[in-house]
Amino acid sequence: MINPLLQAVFLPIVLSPIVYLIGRRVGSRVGWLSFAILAYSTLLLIYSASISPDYFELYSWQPFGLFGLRLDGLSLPFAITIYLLSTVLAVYSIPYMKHRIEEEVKDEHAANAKHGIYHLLYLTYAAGMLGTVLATNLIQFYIFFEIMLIPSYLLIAEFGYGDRAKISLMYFLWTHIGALLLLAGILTTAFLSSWYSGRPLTFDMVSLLPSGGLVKNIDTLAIPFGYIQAIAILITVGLFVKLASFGLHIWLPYAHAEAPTPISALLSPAMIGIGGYAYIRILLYLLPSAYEYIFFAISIWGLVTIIYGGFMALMQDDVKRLLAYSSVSQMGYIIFGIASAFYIGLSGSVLQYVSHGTGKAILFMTAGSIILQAHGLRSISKMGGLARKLPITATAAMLGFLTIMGIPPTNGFQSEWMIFYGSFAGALERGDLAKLIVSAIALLATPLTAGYSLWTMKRIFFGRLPENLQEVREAPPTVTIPLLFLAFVGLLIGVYPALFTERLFPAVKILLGG
Amino acid sequence: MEPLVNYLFVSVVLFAIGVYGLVTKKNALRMLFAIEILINAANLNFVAFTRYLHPTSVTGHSLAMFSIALAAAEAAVGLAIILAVFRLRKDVDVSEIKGLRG
Amino acid sequence: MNEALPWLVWILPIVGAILTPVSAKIGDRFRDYLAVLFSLASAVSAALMIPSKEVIHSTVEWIPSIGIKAGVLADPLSVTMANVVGWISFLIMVYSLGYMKGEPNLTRYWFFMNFFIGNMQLIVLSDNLLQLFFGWEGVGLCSYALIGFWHSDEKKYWVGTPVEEGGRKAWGREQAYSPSHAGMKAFITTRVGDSAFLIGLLILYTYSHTFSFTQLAEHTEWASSLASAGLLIPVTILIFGGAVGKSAQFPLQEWLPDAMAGPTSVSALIHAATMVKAGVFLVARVGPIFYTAFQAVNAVPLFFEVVAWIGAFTAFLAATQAVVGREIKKVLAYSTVSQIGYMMLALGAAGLVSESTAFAGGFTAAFFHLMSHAIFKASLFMAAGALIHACGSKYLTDMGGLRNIMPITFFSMLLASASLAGIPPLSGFWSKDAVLAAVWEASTPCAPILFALAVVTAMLTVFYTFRMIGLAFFGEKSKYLKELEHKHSSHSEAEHHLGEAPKVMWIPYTILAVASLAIGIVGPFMETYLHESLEHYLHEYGFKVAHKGFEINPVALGGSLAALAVGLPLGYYIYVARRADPAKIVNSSSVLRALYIFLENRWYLNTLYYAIFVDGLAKFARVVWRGLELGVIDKWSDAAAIASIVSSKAGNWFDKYIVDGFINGLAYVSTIFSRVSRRIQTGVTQNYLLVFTIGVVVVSIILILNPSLLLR
Repeated sequence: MINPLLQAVFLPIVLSPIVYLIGRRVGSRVGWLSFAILAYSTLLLIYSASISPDYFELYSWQPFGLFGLRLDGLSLPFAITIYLLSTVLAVYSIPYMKHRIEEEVKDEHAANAKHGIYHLLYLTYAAGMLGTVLATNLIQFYIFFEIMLIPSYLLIAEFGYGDRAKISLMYFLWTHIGALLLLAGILTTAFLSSWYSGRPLTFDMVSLLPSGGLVKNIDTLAIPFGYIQAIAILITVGLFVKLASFGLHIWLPYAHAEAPTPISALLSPAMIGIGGYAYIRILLYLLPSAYEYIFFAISIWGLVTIIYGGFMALMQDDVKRLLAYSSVSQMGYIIFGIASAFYIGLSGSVLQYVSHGTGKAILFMTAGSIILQAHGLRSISKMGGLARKLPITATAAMLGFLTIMGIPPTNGFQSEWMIFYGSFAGALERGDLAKLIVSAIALLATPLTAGYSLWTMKRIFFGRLPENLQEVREAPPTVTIPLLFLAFVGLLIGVYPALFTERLFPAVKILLGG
Repeated sequence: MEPLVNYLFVSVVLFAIGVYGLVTKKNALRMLFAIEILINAANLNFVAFTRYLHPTSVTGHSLAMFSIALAAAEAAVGLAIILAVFRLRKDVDVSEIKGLRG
Repeated sequence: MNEALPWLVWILPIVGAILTPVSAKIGDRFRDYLAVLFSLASAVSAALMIPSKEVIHSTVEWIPSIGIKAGVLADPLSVTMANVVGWISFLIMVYSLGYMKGEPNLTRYWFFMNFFIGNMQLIVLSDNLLQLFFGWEGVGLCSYALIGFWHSDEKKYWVGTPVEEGGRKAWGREQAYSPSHAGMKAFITTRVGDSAFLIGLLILYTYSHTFSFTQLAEHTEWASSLASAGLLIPVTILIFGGAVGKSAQFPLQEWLPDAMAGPTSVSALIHAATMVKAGVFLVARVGPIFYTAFQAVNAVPLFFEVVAWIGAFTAFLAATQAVVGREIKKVLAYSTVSQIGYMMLALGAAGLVSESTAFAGGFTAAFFHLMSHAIFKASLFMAAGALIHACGSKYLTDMGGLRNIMPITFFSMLLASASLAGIPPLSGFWSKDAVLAAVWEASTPCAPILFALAVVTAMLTVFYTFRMIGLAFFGEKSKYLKELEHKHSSHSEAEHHLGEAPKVMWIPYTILAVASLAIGIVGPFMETYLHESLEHYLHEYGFKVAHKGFEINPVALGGSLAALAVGLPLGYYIYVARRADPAKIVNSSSVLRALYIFLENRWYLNTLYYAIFVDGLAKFARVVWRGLELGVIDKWSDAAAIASIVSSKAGNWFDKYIVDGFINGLAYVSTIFSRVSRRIQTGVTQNYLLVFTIGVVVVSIILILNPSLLLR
């Protein structure tokens, strides 16, 4: 198997025009082709992971340096989550997009063409996300960052709900500005690093050692602290736009609620967490002194985000908006874990990405299942008693909410305890009482998550079934099987987190202490 | 022998008459007459110059011969065109034919 | 084989749970019996662990990179607890066959019952706190799912009395809840406790780098590091917070009364016998460890003071609420909260002793009371279920005179209630006596106050117990029952069979009631046996063994008997012999009436929590939502958008008028120029000729005047 990572990233992109053409003929069933492509790519990822704990491929890419794809302990959880979700959601897209597109386009030919477009964009989007987390070169990272932005923008604009033209544009502008701030930070880092260390300008984060391993390539130790502060702020703000942290979050409820549900299930669980990945990979790794400067501030920022997102979720009537605000809150946990300055806390953030990935994807899929089966119903106040009509959906939703709440045996618990342990341990190691108190407050805020989760569960699935919902039936297998599969994955990781932790902990330790 | 200049003078006068006729007359037939006069003025010029400057050569004379033949042809063609226009417009007034006005 | 037993005890029910949806496809009865079978298998495995006196400690790798292992620890404490849990669970599962007969959705019921048993055993048998937490949350999840079993929320399943049926409002809030609401309330309340638990646990782990009980006991350096950071007492109290939540102690006690919205078998299993004991078990597990730790760093055992006080106060609080309970299950629920308070009190008192040899005294008392209570309370709940089924109503006031109609149930309930009231020679008497003794012997200045609280609570316990028996079994049949019987006789097929319960229901609870008597008869020996095994257990933790024989503490005995002397006659007089009308007594005095309302409204604590945490937070959320999110942040975003639209419009204007205008201007100029120059093309040949001629003339004149122009 040659160049498995390269294939995994580029095969979907390269095959997307073909998928488009086939889609024009075949309509929604082309989703099976997307599924096949992504499933194959996911297997490639697993295969790459089995070759070595730090598997990488490097290609020459003048003038920017090396085009590298690296699957180490840090990027593995992200990569697997992204592609697993994409694969599963490709199947889910089949019935859902059929429903969505037929809502608006009556002519069969035109509808098929739209299916083709959807899958073309979908494949590109998935591959773009993967490219981001595997990138070893800063410019390459930025390019893939934008590659994931554009198809998602088009997907919302073409297939979304509500005022989608405006909302997709808002989404694009916010994220793009965040990306530009990040780019400014990256370029400044690269240039200043070269200037002050005397080494030639390079954008490669790592370079190849003669022994075959990788070593950090950008030396930022000599950069004066004033610049470091500025870079820290630039990169933090830029990435926190992506992470939808408090104050920079307003785009997310609009975008994720009005996007077509399979895309919401990718946007929220898979894409925004990449901000966290970038934070660890770029800021922590390349600029440890910047991290030192800023980590207490971001722990407060994370705490506020957790609490704020939770409260806003309480106020929502639209189920997708509620899930969107819940994502804001969950991203707060990721930020909080990153701020722990301890390898277990950071690993907890990574696992939180995975658990939020599976959990929120399940939840969006259940919301989509309700939209599908109850003809576009999104308003929670009009729901109730659906557990009787949609038993599998309800079970999956319960598991999804348990994951978000961090209850064992779901993977949400593993990530939660690691984040908080990391935070406590980091605080106690430094004798930092303020941080300790902040961490305690954050843990005490978790009942808030339980509150909105269980309350939503109750309002949607329990109680009286409204008259107009008497005819609702359970969703087709193309919806329920992906749901149950993801729930199973979540439980598996929840009971046996060693699947990821064994590579994750050493990788993060190196990133931090090395 | 008369001085060349006399002949040239006649030629110029004839030329001027021809030009005057061409420019001022509205009737197409009259313009044709004027053209004939112009051609004759030119012929006179040719012959006069040859006779006076190269007495042994017949260059000018042959050119004049050509010119007369061409004049005849040209007159024929011109008349044909005027006839065609007359048939079309019932009128040979040149100032009325303004099709190419920009 | 021995090594595998502890694993089997908790894994078998979980396997059973997972198999339930599968077995349901084969047939309903098959599914039901299979579920009960798995719980039996687990109980048998637990029983098989008793003979071998050795401690089994078996581990497997779990998260190798940070050295966390999963494992089971079968020592006297956990083996005893596992058997209590296992056998009572099995009996309740058998009872369920009768109680839940005819209910739809039983697959879900059996799944969660077995999953619950598995998780409870996981708590009991875990060898480390992280794994215990898995089981901890697992039982919480099952509790949530089973309380909310009837999640269609029909009014007949609600707990409490809705306003339209005459229920009282407290501070303007209705006090009746639907099953799904009650489940949610339980989960969230215990989650608060669990968050505190987790904080304490994680801080502990930071210093100890181990979750394992045996490790924590062996290497106590973590205690000195924690103490020097001033965190030892906070951490222990935070961990106790989890117990407060799970065991429904003050201030997290409000979920348990409302958990009665679930089926009675669930109430019996989860909310009487097992899950609520998990908190006690946790304190029993960590109590010795903390005690040794405190001793090692010479710290004040404030932790044990807190435990004791919370236990005593909760016992009193709940007992007062039981006195006015109208629903039979709620009376039993308040009673459970109260009795668990006793257990906590005993555990607290255990740590407040002057020599470590006396620790075993309170420890044994607590554990004995745990076992004793589990047995008689489970029996009481199951019998209550039979009463509810027979009468078709949950209210004590709708019962009455059932003594002759349901004799076996009466007999059982009488035994079990006597045990609860602490009448000798039933087990409840001995265990409660042991608790009182432990409290009296605690060497803390407040011991007398604690003791007094305990005795007063005991009086109240006797009173409300006999109130319950009296209202249900003695006196005239209530009006409701008379109407029911009338309806009965006029239909050939009756929906509610007003007679004794079916065998599959009364056998389990009668077995337990008799067990309570049996244990009581050998009470002193039982206590000694427990004392010895627990001392043996504590020895492993570094405690010295005293080998005291069985002693009767005269003060404690006096207290127990005093309680009986006060409570029993009063209860008997009013409720059993029906010599006085309680309603008249209460209404005759405004003080009594106010007290009655105060107690019925649960000391307004429930309402207070709703006001602060539900309504308060909702209001806060709404204010932030309207003010901050919509009012400020949304507007920023809109402002940014508007700014970009405005600048784009400006650019558009510039483009349209200035850039385009310039080009248009140029075009205009050329047009003018062209219009002028067009005039030359007259289309009249002669004009052209004229111009041509003039041109020629002009050029000729120039050339004639200036011939040198021709010569180049």
